[in-house]
Order: sequence, then C-alpha cells, then structure tokens
Amino acid sequence: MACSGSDEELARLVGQGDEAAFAELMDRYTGKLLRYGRRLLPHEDNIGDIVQDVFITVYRNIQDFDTTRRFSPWIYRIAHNAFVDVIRKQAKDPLFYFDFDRVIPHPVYEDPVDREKESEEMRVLITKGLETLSPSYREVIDLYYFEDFSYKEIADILHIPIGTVGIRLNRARAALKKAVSE
Amino acid sequence: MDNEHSIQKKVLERIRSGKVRVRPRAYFVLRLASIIAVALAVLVISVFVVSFVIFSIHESGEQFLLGFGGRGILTFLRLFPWFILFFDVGLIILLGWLIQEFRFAYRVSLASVLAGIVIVSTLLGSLVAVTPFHSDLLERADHEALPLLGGLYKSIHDSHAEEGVFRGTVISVGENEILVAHEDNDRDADDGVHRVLLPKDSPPLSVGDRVYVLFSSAGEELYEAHGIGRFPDRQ
Repeated sequence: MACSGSDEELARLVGQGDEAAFAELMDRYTGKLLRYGRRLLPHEDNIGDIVQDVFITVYRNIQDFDTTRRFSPWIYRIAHNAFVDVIRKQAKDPLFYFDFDRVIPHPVYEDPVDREKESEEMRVLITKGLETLSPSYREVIDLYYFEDFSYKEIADILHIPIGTVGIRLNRARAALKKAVSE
Repeated sequence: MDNEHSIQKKVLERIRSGKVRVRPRAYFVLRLASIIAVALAVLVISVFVVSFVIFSIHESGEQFLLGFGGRGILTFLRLFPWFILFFDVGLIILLGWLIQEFRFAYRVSLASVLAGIVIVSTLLGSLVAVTPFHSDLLERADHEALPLLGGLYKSIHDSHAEEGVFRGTVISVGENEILVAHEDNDRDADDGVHRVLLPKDSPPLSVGDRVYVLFSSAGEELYEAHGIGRFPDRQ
C-alpha cells in the first residue's frame, strides 16, 4: 500500500508499527543518503551497505524522533554518524574530529540572497573541486548547497555551533575556489 | 535505482524476520533520564568541590596570604589545593561533554558551554561555602565521625610550618611582639609557644585572638612575621 503525507507523519506511523510507512520513508531517502555518502566518502565502495545500516538504525530508534520537528535533519544526523564512523576507521587525519572552531564562539550570519546569488557559481566550483576538500568541508558544502539545509539544521546534523557552520562554510568555499583556480 | 530497491528490500527483510525491532519509547526516556541524572551528579560534585576549596582556604586562613604582598601570594600558590582544582576541571570537561547531547549545548561554542558551567559551579559553590554545610562536616571529621571524606577535611588544619606559615592563639601582647600558642594538635616541631615580632602593618591584636602568621625564623623560638591575619571571632 502506497503511503502519503509528510515525513514526520510517516515517522509517527512507523512508530506505531506501520511497515508500509517505513518503506515509503526509505523510498524518499535512499537516493539522497546514497548521494550524501558518495560525496562524503568518494572512494568507499560500500555506501549501499552503510545506508542500509542507517535505515536499520532509523527503524530501531524511530521512537526517539520528536514528530514536532523536521525528520530530514534527524535522519541525516544518523547518516552523518554512520559515515563518520567509516572515516574514523580509515582515519588518516585525526584532527578531523577536533575542530577548534567549535571551541570559540563565532557570529552567526546567514543571508538567503547571497545563497541564491552564489549557488550557480558554487555548483560549478563544487563539480570541479569537491573531492579535493577535506571530509568536514565536503560535508558542510554538500548539506548547504545540495541538500538545501539551513545553518540551524546543519548545526543539528553535525552537532556543532551554528556559528561554526558559517565559519566552516566560508573556509570550504575559499578552499574550493583555491583548489579550482590551481 | 536497482541498488536503491535492493537496499530497501534487504532492510524490510530484516525487519520482517524479526531481527530488527523498534525500541520502546521507555528505552529513550530512561536513557535521557540517565544522562540528566549523571550530568546533575557531576554538577553537584563540582559544586561540592568548588565550595570545599573556598571553605578550606577561609578555614585554614590561607586567604590572608593574598594580603601579605608578593611573598604571601607565592606561598598561597604553593599551598593552593591544585589537585582538587584539576579534579574539578576534569568534572567540568566531563559535564560539558555529557550535555553535548542536548541542542542548547551543541548549538553554542564549547568555550561558552564550559564558561557557563564554571560560572554556575562557582556561584553555587560560593553559596554552599557560606552555609554551615562544610563546617558541620569538618566538626564531624574532627570527631572521627566522617568516613571517606574525613581525611580531606582534616587536611584543612594541616601544619605548613615548612612553608613559613602557622595558625595560633595570642596568649600575650607586647609592644612589638606577641606570644602565640600554636594550635594544630599534630604534635610536630611547630607545636608550642612562639615569640612573634610584629610587622609594621599588624592589625590590633588582643589576647585570645586566633591569628594566621607568615614568618621567617629570627632565632630560637623567635619568629619575624611578614604578615599577620586575625580570624573573625567564631559565632
């Protein structure tokens, strides 16, 4: 049986044991999570297996989801943890997990006009240079430009301060421009 | 697309096989309650530690050292319970890490979270320090009726004669000197009655006053005080 309704409504139904609702949620998110995983882990062959584990975790923990909030940052948080676990196991750069920008407060400024203005130029830059960035920069670029999350939602997915999202995004943009111009 | 369907199919198969089940809401409520309980326990311990440090500095008289110039400040730093302070720093970091689970904590910088905990802990610790809580525990420790923490409380009255300080009671007041009976009851070399040459800026003293003295030896049983502090009268 096909289900309709918002993600949050479907999540509520899954919590009541509705399997069809979960199938619909998977249908909505499998492609997105595969894409997110491929951008974050471009050299990983088992993204499908990781996404499968993400759905299992989502199903197990669905009662932990607060249906008054948006579902997508919640499922991306679970996916982020799963992908970061893989990066941690392959760790070449342990500093990825300790970000000094999380320690110091930064002002928060998100301008939607800038976002629209920049986004076409950024998409070109991203296509050319995303793989050259570190995972933490790749992830924030992906979440902001491709998955269309706000700063607050990205902060909820990555569990970092909102100001740090802005700082990381600025540094990622600068690194991307530098990498492409070289 | 095939890959997508195969992922969904495998997940549904595992759910239907009964290997994967939805965790009950109670599980998450208990988990949350446990985190909150541990976080509160850590905060309470931190407040206790801060209040103990404040109380011990006042009770031992070491706060007088801060008014005795450079030499007093150096002695204060040497006598300060750094180990307890480092323990508290550990507690604050642990608490900061525990509350990263919550939106109010991870959405602000770690420095702000830690500063917030330090402020809360210090304010509450200062409030506890002025209540009779620690003096009651100290009294119990003095009567050997405080298990576990008894040693910690008794250490407040440890002698630090080797650092050039002692506490005592004035038993005689002369023009430029006083006689002080040392009172730490530890039966070591600094026990007894000492002649103390007063510094120029000595507070007015009377027989029976409890004093804290920063000194250097000026001869047998004679001490030259570099600073004298008078404890407030006990209620």
